[in-house]
Amino acid sequence: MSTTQDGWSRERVLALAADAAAGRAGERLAAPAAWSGTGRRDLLLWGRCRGSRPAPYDVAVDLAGPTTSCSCPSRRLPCKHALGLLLLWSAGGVAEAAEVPERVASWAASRDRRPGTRPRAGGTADPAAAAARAAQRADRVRLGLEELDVWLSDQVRGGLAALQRAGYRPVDQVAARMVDAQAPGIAAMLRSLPARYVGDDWPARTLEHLAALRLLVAAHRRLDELPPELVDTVRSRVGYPTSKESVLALPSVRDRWAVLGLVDVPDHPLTTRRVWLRGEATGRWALLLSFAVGGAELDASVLPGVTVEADVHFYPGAGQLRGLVGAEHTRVPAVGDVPGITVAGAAAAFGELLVLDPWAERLPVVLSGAPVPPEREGGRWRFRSPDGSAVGLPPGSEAWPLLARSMGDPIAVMGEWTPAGFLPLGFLPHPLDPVFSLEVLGA
Amino acid sequence: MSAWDELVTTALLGTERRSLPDGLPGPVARLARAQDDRALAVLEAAAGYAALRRGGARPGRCPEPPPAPRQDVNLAPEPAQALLGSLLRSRETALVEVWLRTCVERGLGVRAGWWSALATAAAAPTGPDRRLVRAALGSRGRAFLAANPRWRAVAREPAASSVEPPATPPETAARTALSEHDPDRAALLLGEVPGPWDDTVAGAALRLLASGAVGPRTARRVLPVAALRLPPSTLPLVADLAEAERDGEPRAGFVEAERVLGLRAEIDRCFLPAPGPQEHP
Repeated sequence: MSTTQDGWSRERVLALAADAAAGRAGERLAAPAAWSGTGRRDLLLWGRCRGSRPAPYDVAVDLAGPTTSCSCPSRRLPCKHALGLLLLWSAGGVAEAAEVPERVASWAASRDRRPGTRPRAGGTADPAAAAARAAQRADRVRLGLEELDVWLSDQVRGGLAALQRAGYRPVDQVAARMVDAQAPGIAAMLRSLPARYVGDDWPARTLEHLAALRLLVAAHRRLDELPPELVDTVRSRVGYPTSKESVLALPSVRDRWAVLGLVDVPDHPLTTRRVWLRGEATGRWALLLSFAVGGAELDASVLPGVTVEADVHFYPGAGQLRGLVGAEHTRVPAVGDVPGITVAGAAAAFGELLVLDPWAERLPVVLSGAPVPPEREGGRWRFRSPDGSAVGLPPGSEAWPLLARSMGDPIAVMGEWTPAGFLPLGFLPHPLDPVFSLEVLGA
Repeated sequence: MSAWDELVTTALLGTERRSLPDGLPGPVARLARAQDDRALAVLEAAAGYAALRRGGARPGRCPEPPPAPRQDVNLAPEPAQALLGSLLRSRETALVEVWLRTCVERGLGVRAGWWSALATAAAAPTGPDRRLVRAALGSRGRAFLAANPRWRAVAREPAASSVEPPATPPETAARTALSEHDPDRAALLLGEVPGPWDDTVAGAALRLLASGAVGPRTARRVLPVAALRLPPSTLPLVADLAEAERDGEPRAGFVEAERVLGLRAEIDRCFLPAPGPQEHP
């Protein structure tokens, strides 16, 4: 897919090159495999590029100039590494980051101290300038969402059959426009739309998704009238950034957090990792999200199977489970008993979550019950609670490892409850198998 | 057709071709009526309807599955279970079989977490001995095997077969081959002698394989098999020969034999009962 970031096209980046050879060299480096630790925050862009020396080159770009910094020995400005990073970002290969690395912040601060240098977003600039930038962003988002509203109604006017026939391209184009409008959350929702074009009920699922987008547009239009918690939810769904510092400054919840589930979702070039924690005393769930671009490694600081006594700070917003681990006090390499709820209880809990966050797509739950194989080969597995309520597992999945532990007796299984069914992620200890395990699906 | 299905059909065909359906639920109809544009009215109605459908969805019902038999074996110690997991992951079929034999001889069983992986391994033609798998899974595990059509062959007791013993026992044939100065053939025949080997067979095999008379290809083929049958007491000798191989001596196969013998020793250790509290004098 060809896209641009904030009006930075490939041509605009190449125009910065000292000569054509520098531009070509930059293009060769605009591949995710050459980079690690990339990120973008406001006007700062950074990454580490593997070069001919053992240590990678530290590259940073301030888009305000643009001005660049690189630890390579080249005297060219910008060097091929800075050009490569700009090209990678312009093609959508650099993710938004919650915070600026120390080395980049120091470089930016040293530039800010020079006479005649104007302060940048995210720095320690004056509040008036920051408010002006925020207003500018809100305006961009608003204009983008007005365009999206027209696009959405056009699809329903012309019919979803035509939308499906057109495939990915029109959706990708409008998603790219939303990136330019600084609404990355909306862009991600749009990119996931074509995945709904399969199966007998694709028109219903496609209509539900378009309706969710329309609801977000309508909610954003009325931000001033919404309760503050819902405003935070809408802003988060649209993709307004929330800095890590501001989240860590919020009050924390101290508990013994059992780490019970992990899902990696690859969506080239970005992979998203969801790690689910449950507080022993509070019964509260927390979601740790991390991202990696290209072949970069995902965050592995908190992985399932351990219990961490820690302070968790939650992102603002109604029904938001996303959090950050602040101070960690102790860590035990085991998880204890977690009481499970019934399938009917989980369905009710998901309904309650939708009241708080109408765009919620999943709810972490520990279900008590037993997996039930399909009566016919090729049928769908179900998970049945002792009260007889049952939910389907993802089509095509087989829960033999869970059946082995249960054989009809109730077991406790952590997973994600979604409108499409229950995705098991972790088995909780049981007398016949006293070991927590992530091996829950498969033959 | 329900009102939701009608609404989806309108969206599918487009509001230029089909109008909004009647009979939408009250709150949904109010959302639709608030819009002049028919396409936006469909989207508003769909948003309301989706909230009702997703938030108010009732879970399905499912009959209770038939009860499974009670388990009739106690679990092997946890260090042994962890070792089995690692052997299964690295597809060490021969050592999985050694593990299973050790487990079954002690009247113990495998924890349920490994049943799927064991059943899948045993369903393969080159998988571990199915009798050992059945015994280590216990009565509950055997019911589990029977639930999966792909594993039913593992679950079934085979009909008793009468295998004729070879006309000449392999150890006799090996002695003959040695006397005819054919060490490679002698080594291969020794590899066919069923285990566990007594000191006589083990001594003869190690002398032959360490003599340098056997070709490296034959040694690499026979030694891992021999390591599954040699008495554990031969580990120090095999380790010395492996050290020599690492130093570049032309005696192949001993490094792998040392690894296999070492894992056998680890399997035995893992099944030992945990030591009780130490008494202070």
